[in-house]
Amino acid sequence: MVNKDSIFDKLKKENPFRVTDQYFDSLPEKILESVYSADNQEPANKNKMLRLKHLLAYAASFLGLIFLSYLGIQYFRLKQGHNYISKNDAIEYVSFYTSDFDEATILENIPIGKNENISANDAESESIISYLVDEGIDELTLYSEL
Amino acid sequence: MTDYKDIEILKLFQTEGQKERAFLLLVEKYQKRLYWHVRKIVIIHEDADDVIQNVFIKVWKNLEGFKSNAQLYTWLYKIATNEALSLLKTKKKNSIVHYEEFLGNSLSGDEYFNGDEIEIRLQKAILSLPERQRLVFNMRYFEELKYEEIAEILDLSVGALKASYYHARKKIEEFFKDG
Repeated sequence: MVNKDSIFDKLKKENPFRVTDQYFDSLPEKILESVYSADNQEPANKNKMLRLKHLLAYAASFLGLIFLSYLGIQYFRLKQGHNYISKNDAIEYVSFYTSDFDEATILENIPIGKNENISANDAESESIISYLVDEGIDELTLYSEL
Repeated sequence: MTDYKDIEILKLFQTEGQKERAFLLLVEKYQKRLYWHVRKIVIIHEDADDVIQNVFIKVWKNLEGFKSNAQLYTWLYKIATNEALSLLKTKKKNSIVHYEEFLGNSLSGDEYFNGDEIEIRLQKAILSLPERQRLVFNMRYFEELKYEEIAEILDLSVGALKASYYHARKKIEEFFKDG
């Protein structure tokens, strides 16, 4: 249905926009320049991306190497049967669960090294000294008895 | 200047040493149509100038892969429409005022706008339309493209386009009645 009062009957169907007279004469050259400058910019951007990719690849390889080394070390330690509980952890555990262990088991499992021997000797010396002091035996009496 | 057919330009573009010549022929053939199409979307000459250069940069990069069974000018229109809408989106995002309103108000002081008061009002009415209706109205009313061509450019059905055009006209008439 045709609307006789339509605004479109009163409108000129012309393009109201304009450009300078020479605009379209110079546009092809201008476009060609833009095309070439875009072409020149692209390799630089591509190179940057390529360099970034290489750096990321190196970083990933390095991290991968570290991870593999860590896995290797863990594997060999497990294979050699190393105890992973630290001394402090062991003491804390035993202290907390003292009731679970009898004295004999604890003594059996205390590792005795050189230091422990020295400590035992020290304790023995200390008891001898305190016995001598308690009994009032002086150094001269001791030497005379020897 | 001889008006080369699209197929001839495409063949020339693929001929060694003729790429630049073919491209210039293509620019000369389509620059006006595409510029005015873009200008009606972005309104400001400087923006249309930027868009049209980007359009042809894309054409230069992708023309080799263009399938000759498709219509060259619908492909060009598609690129131009997308580029223009993309610029408009960026402008809207960065604008602190209602951008379409700003564009409408800028027309009266625009040295590249020849229209009288009623044409300024028509442009303001078009700018108030939803994006799709605006595109369809411009392409049908000013550029006089067939519905089938617009359908191919905008990837829409002819039925949807006819409805959009009808609603656009109605809204423009309302705009004039209200104003």
